[in-house]
Amino acid sequence: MCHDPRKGCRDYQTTRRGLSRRGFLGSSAGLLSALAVPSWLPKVALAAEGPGDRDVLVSIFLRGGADGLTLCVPHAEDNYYRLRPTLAIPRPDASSPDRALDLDGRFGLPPAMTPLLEAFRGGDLAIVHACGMAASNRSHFDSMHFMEVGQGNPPASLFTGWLARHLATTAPATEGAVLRGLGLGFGLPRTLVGAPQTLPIEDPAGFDFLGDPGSLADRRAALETMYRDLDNPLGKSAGHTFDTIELLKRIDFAGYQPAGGASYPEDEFGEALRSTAALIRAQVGVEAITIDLGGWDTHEVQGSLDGQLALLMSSFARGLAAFHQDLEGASVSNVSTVAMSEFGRNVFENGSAGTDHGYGGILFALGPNVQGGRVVTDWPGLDDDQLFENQDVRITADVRDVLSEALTKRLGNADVRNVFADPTFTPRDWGIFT
Amino acid sequence: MQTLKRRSQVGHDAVVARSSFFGPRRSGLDPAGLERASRKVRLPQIPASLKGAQRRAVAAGLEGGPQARNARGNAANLEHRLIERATFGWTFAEQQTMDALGPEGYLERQLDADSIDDGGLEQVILDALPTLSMSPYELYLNYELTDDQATPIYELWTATLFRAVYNPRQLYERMAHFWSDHFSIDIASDLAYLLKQADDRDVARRHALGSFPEMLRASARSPAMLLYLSNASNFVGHPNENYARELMELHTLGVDGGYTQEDVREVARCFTGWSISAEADPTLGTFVFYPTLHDDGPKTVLGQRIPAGGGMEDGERVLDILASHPATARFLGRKLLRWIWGYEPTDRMVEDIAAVYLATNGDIKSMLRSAFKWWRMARSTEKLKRPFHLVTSALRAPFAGIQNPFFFLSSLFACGHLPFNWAPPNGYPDSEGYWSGLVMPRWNFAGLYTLGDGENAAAVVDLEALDPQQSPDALTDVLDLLFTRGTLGDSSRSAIRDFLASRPAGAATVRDALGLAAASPEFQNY
Repeated sequence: MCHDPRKGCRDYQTTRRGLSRRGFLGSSAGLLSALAVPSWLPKVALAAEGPGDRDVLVSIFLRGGADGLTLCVPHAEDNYYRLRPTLAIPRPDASSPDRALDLDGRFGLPPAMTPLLEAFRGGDLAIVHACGMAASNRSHFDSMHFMEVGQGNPPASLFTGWLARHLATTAPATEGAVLRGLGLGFGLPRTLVGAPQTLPIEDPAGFDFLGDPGSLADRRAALETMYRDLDNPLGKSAGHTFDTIELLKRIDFAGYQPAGGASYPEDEFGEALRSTAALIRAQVGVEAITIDLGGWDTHEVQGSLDGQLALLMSSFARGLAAFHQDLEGASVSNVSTVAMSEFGRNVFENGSAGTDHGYGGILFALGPNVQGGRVVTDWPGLDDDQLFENQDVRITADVRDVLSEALTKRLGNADVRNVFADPTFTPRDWGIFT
Repeated sequence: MQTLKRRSQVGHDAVVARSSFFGPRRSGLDPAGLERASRKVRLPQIPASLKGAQRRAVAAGLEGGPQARNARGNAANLEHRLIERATFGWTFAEQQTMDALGPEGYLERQLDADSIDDGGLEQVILDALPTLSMSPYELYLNYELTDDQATPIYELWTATLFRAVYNPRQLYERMAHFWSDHFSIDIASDLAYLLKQADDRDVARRHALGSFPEMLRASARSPAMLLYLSNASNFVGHPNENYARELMELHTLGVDGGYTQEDVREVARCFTGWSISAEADPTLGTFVFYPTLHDDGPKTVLGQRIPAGGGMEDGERVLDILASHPATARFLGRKLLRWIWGYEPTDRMVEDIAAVYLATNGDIKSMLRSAFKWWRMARSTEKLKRPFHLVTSALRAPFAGIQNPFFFLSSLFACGHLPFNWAPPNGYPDSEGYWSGLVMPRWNFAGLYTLGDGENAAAVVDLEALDPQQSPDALTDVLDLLFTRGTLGDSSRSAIRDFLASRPAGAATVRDALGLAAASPEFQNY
């Protein structure tokens, strides 16, 4: 059992989806061990020297509607303590050891997010508050859709993701790259739907053919014949799959050594970031990686200090901090990370010691090219007349403001209108990226 | 053991008291536990009558030989498609029934599921997997108290797989699957591992071909749903709108169905007090309405007044309003058409099925007749099998006997499609865009599932029926007929034939070739 979320908790990795790939498939492989292909192929860890011209973008989606008022505590607001009588994180000067860590006199991090304090104080982490998509409507699925497509209430003809359109409208950063985008998960998230040279891969370390090793070459040749001329989404994926197998074989994920003394938490999110760092440092031409972290839909017994939300924040913060430390230690200066969520949560706590769906939320921007150490916000306030529809944080920063800045300043996108074509949207430059 | 003693106590203390029992907690989905369960759980034995009928049909079908390839006229293709959409995978036995009854007769027989002899399959499954029949309290005593959450989950998954593959009531199984997604509950959440069994029995499987409004009512009282969508702690003065919102957005009206945030709040008030028992007695985990925790003031839902003092009637009234709403008819109709007909049903089809829904008070069989009647128009496009469907159809084609469910479950895990394990409440997507990127885990499933023999094999395949010593050409024909009804394209045919020709003749090569047929692009669609 784990009682201190800040120390991390291995139990937690089984609480949401419950299954770790390694464990489940590992046990299954045992039953068919005679047939499984060992990792007999030579693996080479490529050197990671020198930054490229453009940043790699890591886009993290906190699915479920992360509670911005807990992830970045407005501790200077009396209203916050009035609206969240049992769920509020105590002020930084509270006598309780469980209190907010002050960031700028107005906002603070909850104790579970302590690992990110160093990146913030080092100027590499910016937190954008009261952030979201104006069209979001408290439906998870609509709001995620708007944010991932990059337009509120998009017409059915606009089904591609914003990051996909960026990739589709910019030349590859590395000529001849076989894998430009990667969704670390089972299906491709909407953010990357429509992207060229892009695949969903749940576990990059295990991306290879299984089955009888003796017949593998012939089976593979047969599959290549079958799928070679197939002109549909499956055929396209098959082509990328063959190329990607070769690509990923060249990366030694299992033997990956984080730099700077970084230690990734052994949960799904930590594993995903570890694989991401290995991919980036191998410099194989990947430009965009998406990671999902679910479980933020905290309707019941939210546990901001010592419950489910604290554990989740801890996983998030420890993973990101390790990722940052690793890349910094390896002197990788061309990576930017953003983390967003479909909406924030209702400012009032509900009857189940949790919070219902809300509106304005939070976004994190992390990396050496972030002008951080700041909570970036036109804070709308929490007075009754300052709330959105009498119950939520207003939105004063459009998520696309931040994404546009990243794409323009860091990812070499010459015309971000190719990505966000919404005529009602004009990006505001918040000075988040250099 | 925690119990909630003071029912009359309203508010935060009561919530905290009960949540220590029914709160978020670690789930039973740890791999080691599942692996232990896999060695302990009994394997249902497929009734000999089912096995025999399928094997005879395969033999007879293969005897027809290559001339079946020539019977690829339009009518035959439509019949194939109808079988594909009504089942978890075409088989020769289904084709025999189709040949005997014709399309209308075939469909009516599948709609009248109880009239189809299941050969005793359900009883065999229930006998082998005792947790399927247990109450939440029995599951609690037997598994929660012994810290074995894996066994009930493993048994439910095994049953789901066996039913989908082997139950001759195939349309019923396809619809149970559909409704399980519609009223999706993540078995890894909270205590769903001991409540989902009852939900599976009483919601999707009881009403799969029955009345939608009745299924909706059953779901609204399902303890698994009440817990999953937080209504179990929705009390007067302390509302929780999670269930209210998803009830309208996902279960009935659809997100564009015309409800407002005010409606969400009012519906949440109507459902205050709909909860579950947390007492450590036989009522544990069953539905309870707490009148003292209900908000008895007047409400307005979608413009309709619900007078004060209605008690539990308030929620029933909401379900009636939603179930009879035209937006519900269209939302369900479009979704069902996507499932049965194709990804892009026309507005005319949606209007037709919505009218049927409203005229029949949500009779699912009538809706299915409407969805299937467009077959003759033949304009539907192929759908990509979701991974679960790929697995079931790959087993059904050669009528292989599952010997090691754990292999199939881990394959489904690798594809991201374990039953009842989609975390958000909208159910697994039914779209090509979501699934088409996942080629590697499909290939790896296909490359493994026919391998091995004896106890180490994942499934028992009757290779003799395929006559493994035949020439590569003849064997390719056999596989083409068995898996794809003779519709393999030239690339796939030559790939399989060349593979057979280049490998040593014998069982191992045929096993690999079966896997190639299951991995072929043609077999990924239905």
